[in-house]
Amino acid sequence: MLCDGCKKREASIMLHMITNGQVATRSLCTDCAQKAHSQMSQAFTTMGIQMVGLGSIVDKPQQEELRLPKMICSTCRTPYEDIDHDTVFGCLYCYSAFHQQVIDYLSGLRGEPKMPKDEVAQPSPSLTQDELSERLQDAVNAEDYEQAATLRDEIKRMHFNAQEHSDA
Amino acid sequence: MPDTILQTFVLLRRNFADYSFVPMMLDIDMHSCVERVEEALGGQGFSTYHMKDIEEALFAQLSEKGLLDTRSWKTPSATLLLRNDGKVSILCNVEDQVLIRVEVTDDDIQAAIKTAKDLSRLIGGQNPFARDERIGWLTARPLHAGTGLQVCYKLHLPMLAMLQQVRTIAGSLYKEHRFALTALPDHDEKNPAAIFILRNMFTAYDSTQNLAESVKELALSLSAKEINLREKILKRTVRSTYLDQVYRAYGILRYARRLNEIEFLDYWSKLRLGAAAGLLPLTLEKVDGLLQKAGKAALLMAADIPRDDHTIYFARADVVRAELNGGL
Repeated sequence: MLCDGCKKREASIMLHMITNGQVATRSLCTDCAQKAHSQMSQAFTTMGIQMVGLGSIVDKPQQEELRLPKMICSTCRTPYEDIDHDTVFGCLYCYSAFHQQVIDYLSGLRGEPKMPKDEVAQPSPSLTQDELSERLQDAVNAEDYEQAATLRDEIKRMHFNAQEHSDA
Repeated sequence: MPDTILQTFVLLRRNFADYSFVPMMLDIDMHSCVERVEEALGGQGFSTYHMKDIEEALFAQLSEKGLLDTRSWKTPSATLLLRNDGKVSILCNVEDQVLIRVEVTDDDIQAAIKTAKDLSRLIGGQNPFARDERIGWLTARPLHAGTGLQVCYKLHLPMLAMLQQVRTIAGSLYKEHRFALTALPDHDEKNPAAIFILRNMFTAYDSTQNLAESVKELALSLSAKEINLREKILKRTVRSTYLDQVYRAYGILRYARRLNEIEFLDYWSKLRLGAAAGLLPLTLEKVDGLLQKAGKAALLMAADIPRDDHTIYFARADVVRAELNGGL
C-alpha cells in the first residue's frame, strides 16, 4: 500500500485520528509519519499537552540498529557487548573468539594473567594446535569463515608462543 | 583468629573441555557431567544430592551451611556431592560445571587449596578441563578465569554494618584489590545477620600463597576495624544507641513469642556483638549454636512441627527462649 502522504513510498504506519467521534485513517511511510508526528507534537505542545508514542515507533529501526551486539561467538552464537565482571560465556570457544579482549580485560584488572608454576607445565587439552587445526578445517568446509579466521589467528599465536619457548 | 571470622573456605572452578558452559549446556550433558564427577569420586565417601529431588528441610540445612543457595535450588540439573565430614563439597552445573568447596581447618589455607586441587586432578584425570595457555583454566565468567581459585572468609561485621560503612569499604576493596565483600547469598542488601563473604574475584595469580595471604591480610584488617569500633562505641560510651540495641536484642530474644527469620537474624547479630564485647552473660559458642538451633532447617526437621511459616515463627521463639533461659 502506498503512503497517503507522499504517494511514493510504501506505507508502514497506520494513523487513526478521532475528531468529534469521527475516525479518519491514514496509511503513512515512516518519513511522512515522522513529519506528521512533529507537526502534531508542536500543535499539542501549544495546548500544553505532551505527545508520546508515535516518536518511539518511527525511531525504532534506528534504535534497533544501535542495539546490535559488538561481538558474537560463532560457535555458540552468544552475543556480547564489552567484557566485564557480569559477562558469562556460553562455551570455551568464546575464549578463542574473544581471546585478546579477555586478556585485555584481565590485564586491566590486575595486570597480565598469571598461573602458579605447578600448573604452567600442564598441557592444554582443550585447545591443542592439532585440535584447532581440525576445527579450522571443519570451519572452512562449513564455509564459516569468521570462525575460520579466529581459529587461524589462534593457531598462529600458539605457533608463535611455541617458537618463543623453544628460543628461550 | 579474631571472633569476627566465622569460617574460611576455598572455591575452585572448573569446566570440562568437551562441553559448552552451563548457560548453553544441554540437559543430557549436565547429567553426564555429574556422572563423570560421581565416577571420579567413587569410594571417597561422597553423597549425592540432586536438586530436583531435594526436600525443603534438607535444602534449608545445606543452605545454612553455605553449600547451596536459591540459584542452585532453581536449577533442576544442579547436583551437590557432599563428603561425609561435611567439609568438602562439589556443586555441579551452577554457573560452572564443577565448583569444588573445601572448608579451611586450623587456619591452614594451603592444605585446603591442595585438597581442592587434588580433587580437580582426580575429576579431570579422565576428562580434561578447559584450559588456555595464556589465560589459564577457563570459567563461565571471564572474571574468574586463571587459577579458578577463590579464598573466602565469612565475617560477622555488625558494627561496620550498623555504621553503614560496608558499602564504602566494599567499593574500595574492589577498586584496589579486586576483592568482593558481599552479603551472604539469599540475604538482601539489608543483610540482617551482618554476615559477609570476603573473596577474591580475579583468580589469575601466579602464586596461591600470595593469593591466600592477600585475602587473609584483608580479612584480618576488616576484623581489626570491626573490633576497634566495638571497643570504642560499645565499651567506652555509656549512653550509646548501639549499646541500647545490644541489650534490647537480648531482652527481646529472651521473651519474644514469635520470631520471623529476618528479625531473628537482626537480633542474633546484635546478641553476638554483645557476647563478643563481653557485655552479655553468654559465650560465643552458645550464640553461634543458637543460629543453627533456631535456623529454618532445624525447625523444619523437628518432627512434631507443621511446616508452615506461622508455626515455625512461634517454634523459633520457643527454642530461643529456652536457649537463653528467658521467660516461658
